[in-house]
Amino acid sequence: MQAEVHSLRRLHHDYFLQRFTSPPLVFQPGQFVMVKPSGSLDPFLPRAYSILRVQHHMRGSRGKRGNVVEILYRVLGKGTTALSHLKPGDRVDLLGPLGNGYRVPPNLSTALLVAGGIGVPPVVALVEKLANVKHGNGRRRSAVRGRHKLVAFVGGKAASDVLCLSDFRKAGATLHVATEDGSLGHQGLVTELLETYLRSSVDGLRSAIYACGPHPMLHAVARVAERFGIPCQVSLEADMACGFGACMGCVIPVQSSRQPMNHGPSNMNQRIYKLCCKDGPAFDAREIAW
Amino acid sequence: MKRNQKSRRGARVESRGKKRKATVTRRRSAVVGPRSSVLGPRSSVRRPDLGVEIGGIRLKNPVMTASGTFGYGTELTPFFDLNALGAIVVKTVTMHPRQGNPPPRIVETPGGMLNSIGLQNVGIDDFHRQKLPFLRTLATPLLVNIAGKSVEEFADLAKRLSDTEGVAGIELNISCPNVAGGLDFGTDPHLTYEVVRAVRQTTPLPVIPKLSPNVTDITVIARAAADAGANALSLINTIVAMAIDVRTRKPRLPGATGGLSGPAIRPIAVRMVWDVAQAVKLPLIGIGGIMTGEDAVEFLLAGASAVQVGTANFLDPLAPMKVLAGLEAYLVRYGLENVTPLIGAALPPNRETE
Repeated sequence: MQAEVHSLRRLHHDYFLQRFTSPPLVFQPGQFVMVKPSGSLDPFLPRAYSILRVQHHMRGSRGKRGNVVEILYRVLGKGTTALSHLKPGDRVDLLGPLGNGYRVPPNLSTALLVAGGIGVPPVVALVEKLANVKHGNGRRRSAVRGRHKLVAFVGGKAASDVLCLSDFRKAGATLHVATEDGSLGHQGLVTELLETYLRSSVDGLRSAIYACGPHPMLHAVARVAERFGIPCQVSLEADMACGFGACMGCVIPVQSSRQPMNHGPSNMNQRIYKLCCKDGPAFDAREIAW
Repeated sequence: MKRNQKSRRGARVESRGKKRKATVTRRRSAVVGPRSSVLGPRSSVRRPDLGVEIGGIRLKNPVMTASGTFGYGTELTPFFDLNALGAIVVKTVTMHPRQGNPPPRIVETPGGMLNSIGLQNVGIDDFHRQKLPFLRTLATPLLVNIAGKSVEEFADLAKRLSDTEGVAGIELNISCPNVAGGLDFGTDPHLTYEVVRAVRQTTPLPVIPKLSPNVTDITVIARAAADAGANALSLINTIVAMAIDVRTRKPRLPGATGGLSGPAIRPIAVRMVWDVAQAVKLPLIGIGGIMTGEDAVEFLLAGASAVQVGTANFLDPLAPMKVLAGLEAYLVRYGLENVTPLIGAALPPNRETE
């Protein structure tokens, strides 16, 4: 669908927060949108961006009322560069929400939220949902205290790669921050903080881990979750063309739950794949063939 | 100068349409938002007949989806009414399920993309069980694209599809560049002949080989397919290509090469349709980087009777509807009552095509 740039804000360095006015859109944390500038073949394909939040009933740059979809990205390649050059009112093709977000069991008591670098948007979306943070009319109302205990672990290479800390605080989450160079919080990996926390935790059985970040971090989180016997969902990314299951490009190798089916020799010793866009991007960590 | 006149004429038709907008009954179509206005206002003018016939299959319009860009239909149902399409061509079905190639499978290139999916599909058994029941509910013709490892396997797949309800025709994938042996049947005219003849003898359904551009002379393959009894030809499949990451100094795709598609290949596809249209008398389905109605017209002018929209679906799931709307708008703009006068209109006059 057609959407237009509402605003663009440089957070710091290469990190941008971009807002688009769009038709009404209801999303689950972890779902994503495909976005590209309209009317251009360069970049050719849209790119997938996790939805950070959706604000309702805001005025667009041309006075039109609608939703405002927020994404957060780091300028790395052609797609993000093109988006970061757009001006308010510029048109974009925006498709979504797509995919499956994090699944939250009804009896969850403690959410352990782990975010690394630019993987932070779906985790912020989840913490705001769990804390019942409401968005609208351009203002964010303070969190109505939710019924979940929220513990966030946010990491990055350096302090400048650690994003959205104030959003976690506003949602009422307890914050644990790590940077690899020690410029902010604990020097080391965010998974070390998670492990330390779990060793002394008394959260009990009804806790779950929700993570998004670089692949090695997610793998480490999955191992920690396995060791402590805590359910864990990870939000993954993969190169994709369409975002809705048609191109079959964005495959994620998964564990074969059963023996290879009896469909003949061509199937033996082959990886089983799921589509990041349609089966994910949020997966149960045990499902992934890391 | 000439172009200016044409566009002015087009503008007049549009304004006339707008005046009558109030009396127009809303078109039953899932195309939403501003897009429907391309068709809506003009529906007061007599609508052109978009129907064409491909190898005995009557299509209400010449716009289909290309195999491998449309899944099995269900992927696109959230976006529009699939019955608006001329036909649906589903992802290649093989005898056994295939997991496909390791990722990454997609690389963006200038004006297009490389893919190396590797024919990931559920296999013919699960296709029957899981995919056909939904596809049968559609009113639009279904073409099933198949790929076999041998002549016998192609024939076997064709037979199993003919024994079931709801399949209007069979497209033969003899041109996949991303699996071992995938190109064999489409690059050797003797093998093309053998496989098309074997399928032809097995099934009463129309047989439509999908030709590869990765040959010296595509008309040789086209003639072999025609001689073997093909009812129509689809062309082109993707072009074998590659991209190298200058940072890692390695190919971007794990298997090094992939298939190039998108507007980047359109001029090549148009030329090949043009060549084949002059070499055989079969109806042709033009494929290659079609993004708009005018792109589709270009293929019709080169000799195609229908088109398939492929890579454009990835950029915009409504692409086939936009192509259809653009094609209809073109016919209206030039006062054409149907698409027939366009088919092969750009071909040299001394050649006969039908």
